[in-house]
Amino acid sequence: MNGFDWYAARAAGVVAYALLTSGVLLGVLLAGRARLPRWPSFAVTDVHRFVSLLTGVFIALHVYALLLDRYAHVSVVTLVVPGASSYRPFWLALGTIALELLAAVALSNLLRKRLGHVRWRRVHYLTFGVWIAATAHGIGAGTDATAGWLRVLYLVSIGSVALALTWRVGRDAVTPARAPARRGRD
Amino acid sequence: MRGRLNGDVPERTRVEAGRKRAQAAKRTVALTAATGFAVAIALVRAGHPATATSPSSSSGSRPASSSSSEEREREGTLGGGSIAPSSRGPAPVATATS
Repeated sequence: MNGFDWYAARAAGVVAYALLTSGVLLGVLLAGRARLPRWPSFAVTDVHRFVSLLTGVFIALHVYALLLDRYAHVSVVTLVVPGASSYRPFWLALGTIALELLAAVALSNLLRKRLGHVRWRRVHYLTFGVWIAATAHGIGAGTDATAGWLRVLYLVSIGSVALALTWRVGRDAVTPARAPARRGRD
Repeated sequence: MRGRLNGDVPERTRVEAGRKRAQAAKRTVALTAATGFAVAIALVRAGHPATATSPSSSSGSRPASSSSSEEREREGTLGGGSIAPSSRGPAPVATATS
């Protein structure tokens, strides 16, 4: 079991990234009001929330295993202050920023009723920042980033999110008349 | 779009079916994540240079770096180094012409 925490930290980071990507994709589908056959929007929302919670669980596991590991020298200060780490400070800072932004998004979910839909949605857009920072963090700080299987994961993730965003932006451009009506309801 | 609002299926059945689908999807996501975690640990471990067992090498107890020395050995037996230029200094041809 020598070095298991180090392997667990990296594996949890990879799974958390895959889950985060899935959560972003489901979120884009929901925001774009995609009609999925046999899938009512409340069911997609339910799965989206579950995926987001599971992302949090694996991020917690990633962070906890890093704190336990003696080789990585990650302290609580390094986790909270971006750039405080001596090892690849820029790339680790992106991980810290992603973690803090995600915490803000999670907090906004808890305070959704108080914030109101418009404000909550604005904060929720930070998830894209989380995803971008997490992608860069994984590629820059991950010691396995050059491995073939991880390259495939990053390529599929980046490609699918780019496609989903293109679909979302294109959908808004095609139906601009719906926007004011919805805003009125919010 | 209208078919979705007023379909033949009663509203309660549709909601129930959606709930069941969501439950099944959540179970699948959780199982996939757990399996993915185990697979990722195995892949990360196999890719580590300090790992004792290398999946590509025939002898399981050697470190990953030993494969390059094996290649070098193989090259030696094939005479791969014989075409390299000599590094021992000037050729003795110069003294032969004088």
